[in-house]
Amino acid sequence: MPGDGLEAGRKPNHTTPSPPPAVFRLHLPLLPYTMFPAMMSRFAVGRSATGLGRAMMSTTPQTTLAKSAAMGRPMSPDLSIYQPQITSVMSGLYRITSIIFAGTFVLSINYFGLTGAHVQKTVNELKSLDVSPAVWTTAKAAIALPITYHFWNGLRHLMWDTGRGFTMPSVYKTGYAVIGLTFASAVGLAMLPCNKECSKKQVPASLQK
Amino acid sequence: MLPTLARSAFGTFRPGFGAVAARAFHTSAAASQAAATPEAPKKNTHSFNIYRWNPEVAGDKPRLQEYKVDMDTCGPMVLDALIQVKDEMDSTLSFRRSCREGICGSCAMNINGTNTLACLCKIDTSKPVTIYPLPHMYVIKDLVPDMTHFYEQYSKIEPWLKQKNPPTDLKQENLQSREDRAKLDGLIDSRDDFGTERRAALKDPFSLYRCHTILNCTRTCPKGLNPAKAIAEIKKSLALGL
Repeated sequence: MPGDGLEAGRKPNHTTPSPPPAVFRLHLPLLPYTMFPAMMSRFAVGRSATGLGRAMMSTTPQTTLAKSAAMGRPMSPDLSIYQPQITSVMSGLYRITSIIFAGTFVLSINYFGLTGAHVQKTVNELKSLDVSPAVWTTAKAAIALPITYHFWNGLRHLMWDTGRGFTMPSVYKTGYAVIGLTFASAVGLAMLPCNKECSKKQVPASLQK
Repeated sequence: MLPTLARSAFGTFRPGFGAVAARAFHTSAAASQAAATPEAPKKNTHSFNIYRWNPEVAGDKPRLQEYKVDMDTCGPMVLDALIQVKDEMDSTLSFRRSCREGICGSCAMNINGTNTLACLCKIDTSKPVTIYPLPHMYVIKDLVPDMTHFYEQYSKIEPWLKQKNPPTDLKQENLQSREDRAKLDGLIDSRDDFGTERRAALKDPFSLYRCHTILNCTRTCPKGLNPAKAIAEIKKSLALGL
């Protein structure tokens, strides 16, 4: 299979013990365990175990996993071998769009905060650029797409939070509906008028230099 | 072509008989072709690329090993192919199996990119079958992952009936209505008295809230259960303070 790091024959995938691909391993319990010791101690105290449960808990997950790692056992491949499915792909995109928003938020706060730029003034400057409407529409659609996807899939998640829509046919139906609505509404937003003349608002006099 | 005919004609018989029948078919067919093709007739084989890693070989690296399984003598499921490989081609191949009918879960593995049970997964003959161990687990050998961590987590939800006044008469069955039994396939056992305590034990940032409603679990569940819905219902009951 291409991209799984394994090929027929003796192509190595993992060194022993395997160094995990950094990006995905961030989801392991390791991160919160080390980052939030207070939370974890509450986690541990809050659990009562009896019988088998207590016996099994005498070895913590960390030591079990560490034992396997110390024995030089390889970690079986994961994300790279999965067949793409609408369930997992849409979930991944939902998360990626969240990250895009968080990144954009931080960057724009810094840009406007540190440079003292004014939002409307920046918009007007962009509008003064000599670019064709097609480029504008494409750029706007590219910006709108993650927003519309996150919005519609967010509604889907809110529905799930009420305990509804969990049958597989329903999951697929709502999934395709979200994809359709995402593109339709992104195109709709991108088609909003964007020529230089139509909506050039005045920057307040106090901010004009 | 010929083996395919033979298989369709004798498909319901066990491999031994099918193989004999196929050979007989080849003999007569070859004779009628006036010995134009001297080489042995080609077997109807299918490729299986199987993850291999041997702890007893120092410095061994995981790899995919290809086996060409004779589909005329192989049963219909991926587990049949694995057993055939182990019996007839490579006895060093390791995998877990027990009930071979979707009850025990021993043969859980990743087949063609989906986590499933080898005994319930039909061999897809349209492309080579690729088999990995269950993803993101430490591998003991080949397709055998270390399940210790899994069982530790499983024991934390105490997946057994807990009653405050359990029946003292051990000859008495612990009955419930059919309707209540149906609910047990989702989440709730009407006979359990520790719902409040069980919910309290789940109030932490991890037990429920590491579930992001991806729904791969429901999509692949070999028992047709809906774990994602069960988790959502518990989240809801915690949010509503039930």
